[in-house]
Amino acid sequence: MTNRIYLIPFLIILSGCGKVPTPEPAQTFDHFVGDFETGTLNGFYFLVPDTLINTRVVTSPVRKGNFALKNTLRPDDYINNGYRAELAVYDCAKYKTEVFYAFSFMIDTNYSDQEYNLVCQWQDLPDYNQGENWEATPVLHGSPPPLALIYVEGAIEIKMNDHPNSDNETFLVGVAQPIAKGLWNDVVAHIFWNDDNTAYIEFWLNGNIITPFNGTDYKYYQRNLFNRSGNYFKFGQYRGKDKTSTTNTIYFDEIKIGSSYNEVAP
Amino acid sequence: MKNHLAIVLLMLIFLYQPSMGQEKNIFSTHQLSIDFGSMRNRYLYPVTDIKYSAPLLKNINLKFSARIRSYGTLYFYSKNSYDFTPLAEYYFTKTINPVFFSAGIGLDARIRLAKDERSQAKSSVEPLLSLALHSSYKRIGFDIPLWTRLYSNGISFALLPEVSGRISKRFSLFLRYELSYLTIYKTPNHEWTQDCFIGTHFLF
Repeated sequence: MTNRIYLIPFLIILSGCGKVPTPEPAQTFDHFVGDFETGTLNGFYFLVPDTLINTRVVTSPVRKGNFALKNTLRPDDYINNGYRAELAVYDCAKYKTEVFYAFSFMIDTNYSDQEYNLVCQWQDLPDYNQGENWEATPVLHGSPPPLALIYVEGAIEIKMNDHPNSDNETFLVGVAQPIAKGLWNDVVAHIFWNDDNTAYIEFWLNGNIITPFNGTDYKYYQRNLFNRSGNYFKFGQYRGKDKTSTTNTIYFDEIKIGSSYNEVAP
Repeated sequence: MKNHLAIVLLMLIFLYQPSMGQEKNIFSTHQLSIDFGSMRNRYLYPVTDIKYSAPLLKNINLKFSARIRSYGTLYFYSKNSYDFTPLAEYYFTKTINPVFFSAGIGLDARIRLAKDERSQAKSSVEPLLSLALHSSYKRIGFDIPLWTRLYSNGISFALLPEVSGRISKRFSLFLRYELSYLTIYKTPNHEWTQDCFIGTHFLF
């Protein structure tokens, strides 16, 4: 016992130290409901040039309830190195967590099909624990997000990226799904986040599963984290560096994040 | 551009300084090291180090060193993240041998300044223990330190093998690889990370 007393100062010093700079697995994540029914955009983070123009809460059209989001992207809406009008939710795609996401969207009838448009994405984060940040000089890591839903030429595509150093090696998961303008579409995603190939994604569009059958189920196994900082969820319109000549609108409603299909599905 | 010029000028000053006479060994020299890298696990990310080491006591093979690592830049100045690592090392030899060892104790201060709502990184200071094997053959030097960092919820081990080639009495080039193993107690979780660096040592 006497000998162990000498350990006490050592343990006190250690308890004052920081934590190992790697995230613990399976941390709790924030469940989220963004149905705009308060008539506001509370709870979202904004990546838009002008919230009054790019992100308006409207009463028509709506998928459910009394309000929805009218998301507008003008040709010159350039912010944070890209043409975009996006809303984000943080702390919802952590390392080794299993999460369900849902949202409804409607492509406006006047939408002009030019270039691709990311209607939602799960964007990677710098490994903050290990000193990284967004403003690296020079930028050596700039690539498409690990996972995105892209609207292009009248169809929606699930696109993944496994090369954080490359900007042109994204690949299609399953097949492109045709989307009619002027109609609501419901998307549900079931995702296990990991930096190895035990990670998976599973997607439903309007109640129909759209990820390919793997012989057992419809989970598509592919690592979906570039590092263990996790990802964050964004939706709206993102066109990268590709400018369009027209203003385009997409409506969103029923954005939800939770632990089961039934918790999030509209 | 100005940053590049400053580095080149610094190198030239050290390279062409007149000789100080008798060549000193590593126990009695001051050393300034500058390096940059790196190759992280799956993507490139710029990191820069500046390290200074000096003899601490005249008759004891004790050296003190301090390394400042900046993240997110090849130009050292960063608004976001630094590591500061002071270390005192004792060398278990009186003369330069083909192979010899050192042991040290120090601190590793992680300074995280980024203000980003998505970040959970915090500044902290941890104790650091070092065990190192040193070797040299003609103009080539090898160093293999093993750094152990102690945290409140875990431990990490970092192996930092370095090979250096002496270009002149005062100047050498080196390559260093850093392989780290981080583990959290009470969970089966662990992570391997790696970085690569290229740099120069200036002796004076």
